Amino acid sequence: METRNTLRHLLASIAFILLYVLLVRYISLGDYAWCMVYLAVILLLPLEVSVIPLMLIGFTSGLIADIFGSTPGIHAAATVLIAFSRNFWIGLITPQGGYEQGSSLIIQNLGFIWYLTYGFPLIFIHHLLLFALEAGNLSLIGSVLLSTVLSSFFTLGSIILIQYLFYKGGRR
Amino acid sequence: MRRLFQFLYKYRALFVFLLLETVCGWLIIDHNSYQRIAFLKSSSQLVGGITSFTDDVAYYFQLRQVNEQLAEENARLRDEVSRYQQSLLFSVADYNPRPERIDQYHYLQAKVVNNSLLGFQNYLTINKGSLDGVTPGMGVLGPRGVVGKVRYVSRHYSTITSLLHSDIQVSARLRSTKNFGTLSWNQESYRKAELKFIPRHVIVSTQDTVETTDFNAVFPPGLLIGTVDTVNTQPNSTFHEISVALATDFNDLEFVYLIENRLREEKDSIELSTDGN
Repeated sequence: METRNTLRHLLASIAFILLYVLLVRYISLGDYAWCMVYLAVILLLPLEVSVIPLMLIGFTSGLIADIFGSTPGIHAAATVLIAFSRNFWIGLITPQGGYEQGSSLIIQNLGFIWYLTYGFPLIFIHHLLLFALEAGNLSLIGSVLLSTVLSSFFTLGSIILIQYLFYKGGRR
Repeated sequence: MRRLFQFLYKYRALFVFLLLETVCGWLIIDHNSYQRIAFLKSSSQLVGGITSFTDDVAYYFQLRQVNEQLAEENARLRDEVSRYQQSLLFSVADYNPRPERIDQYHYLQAKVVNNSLLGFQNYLTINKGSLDGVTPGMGVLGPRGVVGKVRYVSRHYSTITSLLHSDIQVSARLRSTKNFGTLSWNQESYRKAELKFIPRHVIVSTQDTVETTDFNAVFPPGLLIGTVDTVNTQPNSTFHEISVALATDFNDLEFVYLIENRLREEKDSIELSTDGN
């Protein structure tokens, strides 16, 4: 059972990265909003995954995004940061009654409001760091903030959509 | 010693975090050596292969646009050929340029297989490399106008720093007045660039064409870069602030031409020896 779950998460992660690399990274809404759908890899991994494996997974997926985008380590840096803070943040926003052991971190189990509280700040920090590092220049702060806000909505929206389409509630 | 290990173990997550971020930081700061790591380059074999594949799929859906672009370009070339033939009729009779001069520029066609617009520093990857005779520093031209310069070359692929990269500056002039300045990207929109150092006494009209000059060894003179979009002149500044609408649409770039300047080395070396003395 445990192996099957691991395998399922591994396949889902590969699918998210491929989706990003092959398709989504070419799409922008109005030149400013981009969809970093590969963050679903970090956001959807179960609660039990501890922080060190999580950071290694984040580093790998970020680096793959970097290699395809010809960017120097900025996706990796931003993704490692949210992988590091994810479990800490989950601890802070524990719902009443705590988390159910072995349940997935998906909307169907934890509710829409909880998911927004969970996903939006992490995605926002990731995008802010990403666009700021990419700009490398304080004079572009306006475009950086605009890109960050618009892209955060885009990314969060698509990750939520993926859950409604492909995930079922309950234990996995 | 034991306590040291205990300490390290207790904060192991933090140390792993710092280690990974240091690696990323090194990649970001030491950007050039990052680009030299062949494995990480988007021009390397595996990544180039995968992006070629996705591009093949996307290409199929863009055939219509590509056709239009090429037809447009054909029309423009026809135009130029006829103008050229005309000018030959009236050329100075005893001026007989050397064959090397006539043959100075050589064009090589390539297909774009990866293109980033996301960034403030943008690259393209094309499917021609050193085996096809591509060398770093060659100029790159699209069907509508100037695209950028070749930066890194592997055997089958090359990466190009496009005009949408802060390292790229192109010597550019206004077609009507021939006043020249420097064109660079203002990092705001992929449709606009800035033309600097046009003195304020020059009357700049919007819709005037911006083209390459004779002063660079990368592009032949007179290639289209864009058109003047807005002119903004501060009351106390020496130069105009000119915003140029780029002719190349970097969003749907499919084919590009690499320009080989066969007299480039000669020009560079004579300029270098002049500077040296």
